[in-house]
Amino acid sequence: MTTAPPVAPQVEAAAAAKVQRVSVGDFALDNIVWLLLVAFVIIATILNPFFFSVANFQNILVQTTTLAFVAVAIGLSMLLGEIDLSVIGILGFTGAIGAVLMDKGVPGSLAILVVLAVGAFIGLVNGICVAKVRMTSLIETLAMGLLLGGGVLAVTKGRTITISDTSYTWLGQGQILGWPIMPVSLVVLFLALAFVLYRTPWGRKIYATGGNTRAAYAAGIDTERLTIGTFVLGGFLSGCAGWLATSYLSGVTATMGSDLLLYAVAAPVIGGVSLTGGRGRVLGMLGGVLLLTVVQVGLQLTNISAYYVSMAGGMMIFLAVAVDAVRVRRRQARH
Amino acid sequence: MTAADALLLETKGLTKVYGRFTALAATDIQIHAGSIHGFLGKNGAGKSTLVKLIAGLETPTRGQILLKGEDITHLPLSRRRELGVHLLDQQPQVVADLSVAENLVLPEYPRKGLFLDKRAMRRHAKELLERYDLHFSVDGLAGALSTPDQRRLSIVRTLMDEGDLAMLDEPTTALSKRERESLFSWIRDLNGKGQSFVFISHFNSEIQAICDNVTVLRDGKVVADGEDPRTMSSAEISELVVGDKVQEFVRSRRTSKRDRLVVRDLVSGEVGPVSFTVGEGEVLGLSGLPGSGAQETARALAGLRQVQSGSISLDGRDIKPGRVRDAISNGVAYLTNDRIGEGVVGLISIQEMLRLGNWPTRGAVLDRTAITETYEKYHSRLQFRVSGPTQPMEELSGGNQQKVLLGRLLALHPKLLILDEPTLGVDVATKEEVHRLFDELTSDGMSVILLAYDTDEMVRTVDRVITFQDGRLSGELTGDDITADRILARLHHQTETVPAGA
Repeated sequence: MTTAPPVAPQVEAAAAAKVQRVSVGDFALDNIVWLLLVAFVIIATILNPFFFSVANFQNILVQTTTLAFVAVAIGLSMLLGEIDLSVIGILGFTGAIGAVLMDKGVPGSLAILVVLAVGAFIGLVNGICVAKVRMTSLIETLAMGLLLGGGVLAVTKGRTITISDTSYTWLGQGQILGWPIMPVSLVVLFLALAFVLYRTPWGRKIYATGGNTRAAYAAGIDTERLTIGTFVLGGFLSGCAGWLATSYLSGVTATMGSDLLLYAVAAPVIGGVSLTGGRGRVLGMLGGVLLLTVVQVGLQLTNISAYYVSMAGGMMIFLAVAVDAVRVRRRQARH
Repeated sequence: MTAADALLLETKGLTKVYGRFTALAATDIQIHAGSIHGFLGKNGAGKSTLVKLIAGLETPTRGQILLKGEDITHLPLSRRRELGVHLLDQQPQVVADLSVAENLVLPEYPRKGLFLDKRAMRRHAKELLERYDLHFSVDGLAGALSTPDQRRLSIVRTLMDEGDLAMLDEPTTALSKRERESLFSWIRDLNGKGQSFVFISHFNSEIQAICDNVTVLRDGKVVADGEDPRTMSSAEISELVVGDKVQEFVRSRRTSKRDRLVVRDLVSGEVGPVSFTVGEGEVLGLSGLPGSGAQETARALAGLRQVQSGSISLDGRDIKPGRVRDAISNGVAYLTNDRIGEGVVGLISIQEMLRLGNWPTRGAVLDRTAITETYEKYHSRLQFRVSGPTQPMEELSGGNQQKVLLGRLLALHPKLLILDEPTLGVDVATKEEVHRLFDELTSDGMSVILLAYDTDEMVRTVDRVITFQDGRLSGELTGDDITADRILARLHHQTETVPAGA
C-alpha cells in the first residue's frame, strides 16, 4: 500500500479530465440544435452567398414567426406530457373566421380580438376534453384539427378570401425603417415564454406536472386546471399564428398551413423538448424553429427542387431525434 | 479451499466518480460462492452504486470486476445476465398485466413455428414455480399477486437461468414482519441448494438473520469486509455503518391536553366508518395490514382518496374531504410511501422540489432568494448528501430523496404531519435523526400520524396506537400497553379480548 498516496492525485486528475470531457460532450448534445444551425448557415452561405444577407435574414425571421407560435403551442403541451395536434387547425380556422368577418365589414381590430378569442376557446374545449373527460390528447386534438380543417372549408366555401384592412394586416405587412414588424412578435413571444416558464410558479407547475403528474397532484398542484390553462394558452397562441399567417398573406386559402404541422411538432423535439413531459428549454424551442426555417429557405435558395426540400426537412428531424435519444441514453447511463 | 469457499465475484480498485463526487472509492471486495453476502451502509454510502456497477447498469470510472476469475468489467448488462449476475431492484419488476407464466418466460417466449407455444410456456412456468417452492397459479395476472409474491416472482425471474449471483436491493421494503420471515426462509432454502445472494438492507436484524458475510461501506469506502454479522451485536453493526455510536431514539410518551384533529364517521370506499382524534403534539400510530384501512384512512385525511361521508376538523375548522389542496392549506401534510411514483419529480432541482407547488413569489415572479433560503435551511437541518441546490432530484440516492421530501413537508409548516413509512430506505443513523426531528416538532405542538410496517420502530416513537382490521378500528393501545406483540395481535384475527383503551 506504499504506492497509494502518489497514485491518488493521478486518479483525481484522470477523473477530473473525464468529467471535463463528459460535460463538453453534454454541452454539445444539449445545444445540438444551435450547432446544426450554425453549420447549416455556413453551408448555405457557401452554396449561395446571398443567403448571408440582411434581406434574407429578414425573410427568415418573417418565415419563422408563424411556425414559432404553433411550435410553442405544441411545445407547451409536450412539457406537460400531452400533445396538441390541433394547432394548425386552429390557425386555419381562426384565420378564416377573421377573413370572413372583415369580408362582411367587421373592422380589422375587432376581427383580431375575435381571432384570438376563438383560438383560446378552442383551446379551452381541448383542455376540458383532456383534463376532465380524460380523452387522450393525441387523438382528441388530432380529431379537433381535422374538424377545424373541415371548418375552414365550410367557412370559406373553398374560396380564397383577400384581406385589405390595414388595421388587421399591419403586423404581417408593416415595416419600420425598412424592417418588417412581424419578427418583433417572435421576440416578444420567446421573452414572454422564458419569463412564464422560468420565472412564474405557473411555468414551474408545468415542468413539475410534466415530470410526475401524481407527485405534482399530491403536492397540491391543481393538475386539471393547469392542463386546461395550458391548452387555452396553446389555442390562444395558435390564434395568434392564424392572425400572423393571414395578415402576412393578406388573405386566407383553404389549404393554408397544411404542411406546417410536421414542422410544428418537430421544432420543439429538435430543440430538446421531451415527448414524455417535464423536460425542455425555451432556447431549444427557438433553435428548433430557426433551424427548420433556415433549412427550408436555404434549400430554396440553392435552387434544389421542392421535393428535396421536404426530404431534407425530414432528414433534419430524423437527425435531431436520434441525437435526443443519445442524450437521454447518456443521462440514464450516468444515474 | 472447499468448493463453498471458492471465489465467485471479486472487484479490484472499482471506482465510480460523478462530477466532483466520488460515489465509490477504489473498492476491493470478494464474494464467495454459496454465501449470502450483505452490503451495509448509510444512504449514499455507495451500496447501490456498487451493485449497479456489478450488474452492469453503470460503467465504472476505473477498476475491474471479475466473475470466477474472468474479467466482466466491459460486458454489457445482457451478457452479464447470461453469465448469471442479476440485480433485483427495490421495485418489484413484474409486468402486472401479463400472466405469471408470461412473466416467467419473458423475453424468451417458447414458440411453435411462428406461434406462441402456450402449453410449453405453462409447463415451463409450472416447473420453475415448483423448483422454487412457490404455489400460485401460472395463469393469474402477475399484478394480482400480493406484494411479497410479486417479489418472489421477480426473484425467480432472476434465478431461472441458473443465476450464479442474485443481488437483492432492499427486497423487504413494504413487507410485513411475517412476510419478511417467509421470504427469508425461502431465500435460506435456495441458498442451501447452492444459490449465492447479495443482500442489501438497512435493518441490522435482517442482515443478522440471513447473511453469513458482510461488506460495510461508509462515504464510498469499504470499512469492513468479510465479517460475519451473526457474531456481532446490532449496536456493533450500526457503529460500523455510521462510524459512531448510534443512540436508538425512544420517545417519552406524552398525553395530549387538547384535541387537534377530530375525525368523525369517516367513510372512504370500503373503509369506515372510522372515528378518532389526534391531540396537540401527539404522535398517533396507525397500524394495520395492507387493505385493513390504516393507509386508506391516512390518504383520505390527506385528500388523496375520495370520502363518501363523515367529517374531518383540525383545530375546530372543518376540512373539506377529498381535496389535497384543502388539506394542505389547512395544515395537513402527507408523506407518501410511494417515493418514486407520487413523491419525487426527477427532473427538477432539489431547491425547487423543496417548495413544490408552493413556490414563494414576489408579485407574479418566483422569489429565487426565498427558494434558496429554504434550501439552506433544510440542508443544514436534514443534511442531504448532495452536490448543490440545483442538482436534479433523479440523481440523489433514495434516502436523500426521502430527506428532501421531508424537508418539503416541513417547509409547509404543517399542523398535522401524516407520515406513511417515513424511514423507508433510510439508513439507521438517519432513521433516528428523523424520529428525533419529529419529537422536537411535536414539542412545538405539531401533531403526527405515523404509519410503519416496522412495529418495533412504531413502539419506540408513538404516544398511542390505533389498529385497523377489515376497514374498521380494532383497538387502541396507550402507554406501556404499546408493544410489538400487542400491536401484531390486533392486526390478525386472533385478538385477545381486551377492552379498548385498557
